[in-house]
Amino acid sequence: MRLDNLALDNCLKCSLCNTACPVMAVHTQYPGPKRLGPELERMRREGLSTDTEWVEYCLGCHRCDLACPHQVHVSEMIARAKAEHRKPLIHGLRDWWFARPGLLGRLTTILPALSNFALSLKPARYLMSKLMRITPQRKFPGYTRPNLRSPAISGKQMQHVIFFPGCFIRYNRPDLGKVVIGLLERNGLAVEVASTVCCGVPAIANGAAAEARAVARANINVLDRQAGSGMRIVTACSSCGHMLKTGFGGILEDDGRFAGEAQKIASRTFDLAELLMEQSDAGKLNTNFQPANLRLAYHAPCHQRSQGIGRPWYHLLRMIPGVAVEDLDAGCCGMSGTYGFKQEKYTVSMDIGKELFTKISAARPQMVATECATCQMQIEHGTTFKAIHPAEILLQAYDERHSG
Amino acid sequence: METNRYDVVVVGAGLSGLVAAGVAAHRKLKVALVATGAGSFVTGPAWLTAREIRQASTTADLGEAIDFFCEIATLAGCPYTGDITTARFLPSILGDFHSVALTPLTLWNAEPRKGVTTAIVGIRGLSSFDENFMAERLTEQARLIASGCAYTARQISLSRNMGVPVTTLRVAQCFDRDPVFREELTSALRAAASGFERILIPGILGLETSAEQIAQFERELGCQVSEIPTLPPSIPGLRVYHHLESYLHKIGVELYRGFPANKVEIQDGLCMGLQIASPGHPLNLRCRSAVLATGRSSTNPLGLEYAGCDQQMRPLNSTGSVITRNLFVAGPLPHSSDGDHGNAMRILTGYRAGSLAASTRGNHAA
Amino acid sequence: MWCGRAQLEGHGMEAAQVVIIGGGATGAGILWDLSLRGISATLLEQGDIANGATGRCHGLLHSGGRYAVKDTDTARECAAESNIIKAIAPHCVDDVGGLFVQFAQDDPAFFDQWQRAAEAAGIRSRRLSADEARELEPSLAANILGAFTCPDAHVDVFRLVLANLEAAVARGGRFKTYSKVTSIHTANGHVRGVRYRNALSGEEHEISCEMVINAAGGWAQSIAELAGVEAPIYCDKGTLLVLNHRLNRRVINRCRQPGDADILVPAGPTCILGTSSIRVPGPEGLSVSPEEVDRLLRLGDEMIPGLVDARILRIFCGVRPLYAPRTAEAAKGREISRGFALLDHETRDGVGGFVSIVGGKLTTYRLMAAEVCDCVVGKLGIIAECATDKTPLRPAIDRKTHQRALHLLPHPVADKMERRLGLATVRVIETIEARPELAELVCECELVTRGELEYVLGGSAPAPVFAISDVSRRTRLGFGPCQGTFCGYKAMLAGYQTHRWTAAEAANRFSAYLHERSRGQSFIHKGRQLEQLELNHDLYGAEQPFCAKPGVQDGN
Repeated sequence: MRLDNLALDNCLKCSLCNTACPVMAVHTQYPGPKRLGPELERMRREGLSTDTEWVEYCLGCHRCDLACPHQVHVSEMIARAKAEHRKPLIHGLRDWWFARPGLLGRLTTILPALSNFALSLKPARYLMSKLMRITPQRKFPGYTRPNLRSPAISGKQMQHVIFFPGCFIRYNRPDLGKVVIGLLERNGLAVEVASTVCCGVPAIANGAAAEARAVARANINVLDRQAGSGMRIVTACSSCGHMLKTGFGGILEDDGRFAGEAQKIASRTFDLAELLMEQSDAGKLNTNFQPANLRLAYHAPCHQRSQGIGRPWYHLLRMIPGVAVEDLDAGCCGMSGTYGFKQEKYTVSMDIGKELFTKISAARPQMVATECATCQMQIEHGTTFKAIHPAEILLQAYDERHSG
Repeated sequence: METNRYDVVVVGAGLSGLVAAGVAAHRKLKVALVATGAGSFVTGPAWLTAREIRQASTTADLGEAIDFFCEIATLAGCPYTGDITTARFLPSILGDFHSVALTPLTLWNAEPRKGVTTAIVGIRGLSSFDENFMAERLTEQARLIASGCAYTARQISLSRNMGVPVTTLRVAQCFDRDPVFREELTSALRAAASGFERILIPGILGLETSAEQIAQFERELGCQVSEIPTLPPSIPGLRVYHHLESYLHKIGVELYRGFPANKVEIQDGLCMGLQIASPGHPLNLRCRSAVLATGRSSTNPLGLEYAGCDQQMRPLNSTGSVITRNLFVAGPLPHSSDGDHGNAMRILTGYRAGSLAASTRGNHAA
Repeated sequence: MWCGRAQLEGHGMEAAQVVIIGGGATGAGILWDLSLRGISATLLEQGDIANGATGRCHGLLHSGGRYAVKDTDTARECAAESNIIKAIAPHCVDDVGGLFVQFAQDDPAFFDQWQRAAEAAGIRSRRLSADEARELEPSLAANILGAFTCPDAHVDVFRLVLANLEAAVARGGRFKTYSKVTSIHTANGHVRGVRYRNALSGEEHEISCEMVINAAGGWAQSIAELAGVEAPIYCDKGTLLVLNHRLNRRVINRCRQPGDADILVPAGPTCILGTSSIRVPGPEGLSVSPEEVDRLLRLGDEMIPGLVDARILRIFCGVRPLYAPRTAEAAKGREISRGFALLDHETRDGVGGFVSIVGGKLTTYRLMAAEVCDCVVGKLGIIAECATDKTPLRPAIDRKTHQRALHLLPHPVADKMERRLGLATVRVIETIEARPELAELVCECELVTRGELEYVLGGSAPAPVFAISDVSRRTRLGFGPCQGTFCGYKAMLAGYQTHRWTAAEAANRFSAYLHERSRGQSFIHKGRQLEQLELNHDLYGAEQPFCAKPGVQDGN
């Protein structure tokens, strides 16, 4: 057992992590991050059987980590506990699929229209609810033919970056991928789309540690090959960004060569907004925005906050003349990727999101901007407001100028 | 447009850091606050004892600092009461009385009052607080300080399942989020308060509730109510933190939460910026001046070079030279063995450092 | 077979055939042995159970490997006795096994010697390659050359002492804690009784008896002086560091000539690194310098890289009371035999009915007790054989109770409670079934439920509680990272709620508890524990009579 890669010794039992936990705030029985993290970890090292079904209720939002004054890696400890947790068979089968959106994406996009249709059928949803405990209350995101490709490189002088699209963009919204490319190109960057696989966040969230390690290694090999040394990696999905920046969640720590490579990738990964913000600070941001008359509310996804980069999308949107942005700062939306799809967790998910829904309703924006796909889903499910990736707003502001 | 460029960067969200950021923000400067979690003051009731005031009173600007703090606390929605010239005895977590000069308003009315019928009301299942213990202790202690006040213990039960054990955090969160719960709590407390002029309860009145909401709660209750400190999570302390942080956010302070500042960039004796240890690669903030208020528990970003500070709160190295002219150190020093001088010093040093940082403009690269 | 205590006490005075002075493993073992042989005995201990060397040792149940090369007889004794202890008190023993690891910087000849010696002493062991050893213990240094397995184990010293006392009480034995012996009465060259003072009330009492056994360990000399005789001992201080979490699954020994910091013992969720050997004048007023601590950490780091940065929860030291016959005075600590000496003061000094037992080690306590009892029994003119090697200290819990416990509590919580409480588990389960709030984990680190806490504080518990640290010794509450900051407060409230203490008494007990806990942390000069202390300081205020400056340990 490695001495202290999780900062277990830093825990002073102050319970600040508990105060930040969105699940604890709505679920009276949930033991909380202090218990499921450092306390269980300490017992695990004692050799006690620490398995508990409660670890499954952790959102993986990392708010506990951010609230800890001493930087204990609380959520990582809980993720380890999840990996060792023995689930009931039905949950196991369901979560096997949830852990592999890449596989799911590849299968459904063979015949996307048919898949979308089948997945929306009431009988199908009924069966999924009964046999797999997938809540019938939520709509699945639509799949579409994956056609995201690296654009032809227009100018040799342009700086190159490599775009890590992630499963949602690749299989559900390749058009959003094109938006990302568009934004980067309009800022003097040539983009290559990485042929990477799933970042592994769903695998870790569903306790599939081996799968997480496998996709991490696969991604490292691809990025090694495609991204020349020093080339920056751009993510538009906060979860992908979080995963890459934390060296694939630290799961490769024992893995020699891969651990080193993961660290290098982490040091070169930038969130799209973070990259544009850097350009802005250097005076190089393309500020050719068409004025708009837009009232937005911005919701920072948990995996964006966990990257510790401030709130660049909030600032970027405000650069568009005529755009007013309110930072909702309303906590976690409660969806947390596949979490909100699970029947037994649906109520918790919606209870957590209540505060956000209330704040959105009070703000009455024209749209809610948030860069996480599942936050968008949750907002559209829990309110009557439309949610959109801020990149789309930014690109539109550029394009209207161009066409104008 | 420059986002990662600030007039003042403050590191640390304890009382020192929050006050320093408040000072700079009130002077209409562009301020960033970098912190990992809340300061250590949230462990307790966030009050200022008479002893702390005495120790900090050697300085002339204590009154000014405290006034400023009280001002932002009020603006933030968690007003303080009391002043530096007087004190009153308030119950502590161990059931004895501490002489307190300033405290959040919700704790103020718990002092021993002769002839005033007072009930200490606990909640069934709340295992970190025992109303009988408190009542017995406080009655006895009140006698010792010749303030004969009899405290009577009472207990209420809540209908909903709050888990085992019930914690102050759970109750506070329900109080914040659920108006039905607040109603139930109010009527249960009202019943327990019948026959008493005043009730004391463990700190549970929400983390996010404003002063107006608490005043409203008191009105609906029909008698005076005051909180008593409990084991952590200390709701009164956390409430002050939450409100101050939200207030700073509202007046434009940019918050960088969750990762420490681990490096200070110094050029020719000037702090040009700080590096935040964000995952993957650090985030660089540029600043004209900075305040380090990282507290006792952390490593100072100035590293091993740091050996104390001078009268102008500037950091010195082991030979006694100033390390940076535009960076100021506030609050208890890392791993200080001097002993902590409490919240009064934290506020005072934060106020001073914030003022110094606000009036000092280093020149960073454009 | 209560052997006349009733008759002896016919006149309203306390009486026993034998009075035992000292509530460590030896004294408790003697009480059990005598009680099992049907002899009425009362044990008097000046503090709480295991106040002296027993409560301040590594808790290592030696397989004998440590003595194999140097002293085959002792090694053989340890091997046999540790097996007996595992059989009679399995609930006190965490049979983790051990390794004797060969490090590159140690004498290779010793490693080969060890194997032969272990064989000769009858210690079961298997040779491992470096890779095999590291597979078992991944945190071991990269430069190890190999290892031997051995049947080392960890024993909870408080539980072991309590188990002996409890078993003795079931057979008519008695014990009193916080009872300091102030005089030993003799008449006509024979012991008649003792006077003792209750440390809490100050009241003095008398017990009449035929024999007194001085099992006072580090205080053996001062007790002997009460009878006008000598029991020369030599106090050798050993310092131990409790580390926040387990770095090892098994006991790790350094395979070399015994030296400092060459054993790391897993103890519950912690591990304990030790030890040192420094001569001190007596068992009280002990202190530990930062240099000593740094040295222990550096040495430990040689075994487990990274250990030097591990968080120390607590530093404690105890004295090994070693028998020091005049002729061996010049020798240093470790060379003096770890064997024990039974001093018959009748033959040595003409004081009949008074024997002293000095020296020895935890692992062979039962053997020492047996020898003392054989002697005592002979002097009393009774024929009774020792049966402690074959008699379990506690009956096993039945399956039904076990299942009931699992219904109420998570597996590790139920398991620990059963190991601590034994048959009393039923009682606690019943209270939890009646009042579900008693399932609350008051100490989250050591998994102590409120139900168990109330039982320990209550009147039916085998060993009465007078201080919060007494609770800690019985349940391990407060032994984790918070060192009682949170759980100690709740324990105080529980002491009040169970009517053990008034509110004022409870608050005083808690102050005293904080003071004691802080002393154990006061020698820690760096690391996260200092911040834990600061949190404690913030919470309970500067008015509390403790500080983070290096202090002096006397008592616990």
